[in-house]
Amino acid sequence: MTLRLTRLKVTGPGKPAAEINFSSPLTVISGASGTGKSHVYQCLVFMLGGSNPPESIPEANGYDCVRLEILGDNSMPFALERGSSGGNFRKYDLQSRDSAEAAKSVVVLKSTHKAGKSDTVSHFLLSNCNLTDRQIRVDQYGTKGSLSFTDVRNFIMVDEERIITRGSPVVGVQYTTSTREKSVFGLLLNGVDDSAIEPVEKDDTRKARLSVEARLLEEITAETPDALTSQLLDTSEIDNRLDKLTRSIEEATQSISAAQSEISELETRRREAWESLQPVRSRQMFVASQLDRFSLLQSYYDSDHDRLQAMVEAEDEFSGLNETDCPLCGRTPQELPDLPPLKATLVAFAEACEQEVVKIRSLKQDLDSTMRTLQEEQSELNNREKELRAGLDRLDAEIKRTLEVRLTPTRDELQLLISQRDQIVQAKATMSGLA
Amino acid sequence: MGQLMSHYAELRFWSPVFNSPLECGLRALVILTDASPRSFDLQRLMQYDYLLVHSNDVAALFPQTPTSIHPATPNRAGELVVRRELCQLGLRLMISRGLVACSFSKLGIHYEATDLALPFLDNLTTRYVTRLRSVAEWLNVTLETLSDSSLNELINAHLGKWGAEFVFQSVLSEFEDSK
Repeated sequence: MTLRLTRLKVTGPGKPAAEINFSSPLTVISGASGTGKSHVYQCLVFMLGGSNPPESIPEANGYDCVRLEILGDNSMPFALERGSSGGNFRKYDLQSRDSAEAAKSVVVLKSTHKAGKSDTVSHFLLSNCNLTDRQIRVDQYGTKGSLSFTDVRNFIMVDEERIITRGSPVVGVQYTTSTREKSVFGLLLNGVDDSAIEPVEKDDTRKARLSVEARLLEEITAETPDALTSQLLDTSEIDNRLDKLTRSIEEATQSISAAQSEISELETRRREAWESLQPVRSRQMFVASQLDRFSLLQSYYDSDHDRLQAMVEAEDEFSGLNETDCPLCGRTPQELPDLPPLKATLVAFAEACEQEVVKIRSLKQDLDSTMRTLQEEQSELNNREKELRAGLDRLDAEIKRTLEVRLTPTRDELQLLISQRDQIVQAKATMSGLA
Repeated sequence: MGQLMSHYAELRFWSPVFNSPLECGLRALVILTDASPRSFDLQRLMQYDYLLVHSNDVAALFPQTPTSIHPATPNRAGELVVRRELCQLGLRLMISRGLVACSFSKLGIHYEATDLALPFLDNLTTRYVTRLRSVAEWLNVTLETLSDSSLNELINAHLGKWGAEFVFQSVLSEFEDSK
């Protein structure tokens, strides 16, 4: 891990560049007074993160940019540039020697160190020394601070005034605590920082804290017994709530039983309605089957009527025909006694048919009137059935509605109230046990 | 009422007034006259006679079946059994008046209408006879191509169904009569 300064250069528009090259491992800047030795030193401090720009000297007029070239870790060449009046740094990577490439590699670095931030010039410089993210002790109490390059700078360069001073080269250099300076020196010597130390409580802080705690405890122990007891004994509010709940429970219970009795009444009515419907339905079925059979009988009568009429006519015509001889044996009808009926028999047959026709007509009339009566009854029954069914449906709907709207929600509410009451009763018991 | 019903149906069938030889003979005459000059044997004539008055029973088998002339009585399939004798008596009656002629051949006894048949039938004007004649026309056309054996098969296959729809009816009537 090395950090070597190689060149310092100042530039300005229209001004010739002014530069100094440094040697390794030590560079001494010497010269007669007024030759700019301090100015160079100030520039170096400035370029290593110092906040104060170099004091202006007449020779510096017109120069607005300062450049410091360094060799970082593994001899990597970098350049830091900064405006002469201060502000951020620009860091260039000079490895490629090509100025265009170098220009592209620019990174802006802030001038002020901040713990945890890596975009500062301090961090960049520290990283080349393997000293990033170090903590150093700053006071006797173990308060810790973050190591910045400024801390380190004082160990790598010294100005003429300091050289002359009688005093430790380590302590009293910066506007900071000697503890800090000593810690930094210790870190540089043995490579171990102070991150492991525990801050110690300051005496006065400690004393103050202890006295406050003591007082608090006194107060608590003083007031506690009475306060607690009085709180435990004051159950009047709880009793109030309990009373309210009990009343609500009573109300809910009453409401439920009212709804229930309504439902049971509705159910009784429903059962009655259903029971009235049944006989109507069986009578309907009976009447329907009767009407079916009577229709059939009607069709018999009609058919028979037509047939008999036809027979009467047929007999009449038939009688007009002469009997022929038997086709088999040639005998005349008179000679064959067991042949189909004679004219006289046929006439009697026709008369009988006519008579039957009359009877059928009368039977049919009776049947028609019976059927009409039955049909009237059927339509009455149908109406009645419709009525009863409608009533049944209405009752069903009402029962359902009462159940849904009044009974079920109220039951749920009651459950809730009861569980709330139980909780309170239990809490009350617990508390009285404590008192 | 149920008792009266079945009683009536029986009476009707077995009374001498209905299904008389004249009636059966007349129906046979109607069939034969329409089918003329075709002749039928007794079996075929019987089967035609049944279907003539219960045409609806084969509504599922043939198109444009006319509705039955006779009402659908219970167990009417039984009619086929008794028709034989009735048809024979009827035919004999028709033959005796010269309306039907019977012929004998090696194929059996066949019946056919004579020339007297048509003018005789044309004299009959009742609604019943008119319906008979119209259904006979449909029947002859529909069954013309069926052979005797095919017709036998058909009748036998469906016999069980005709009149069976009344089974439930009778159960119902028994149920009511018992109430």
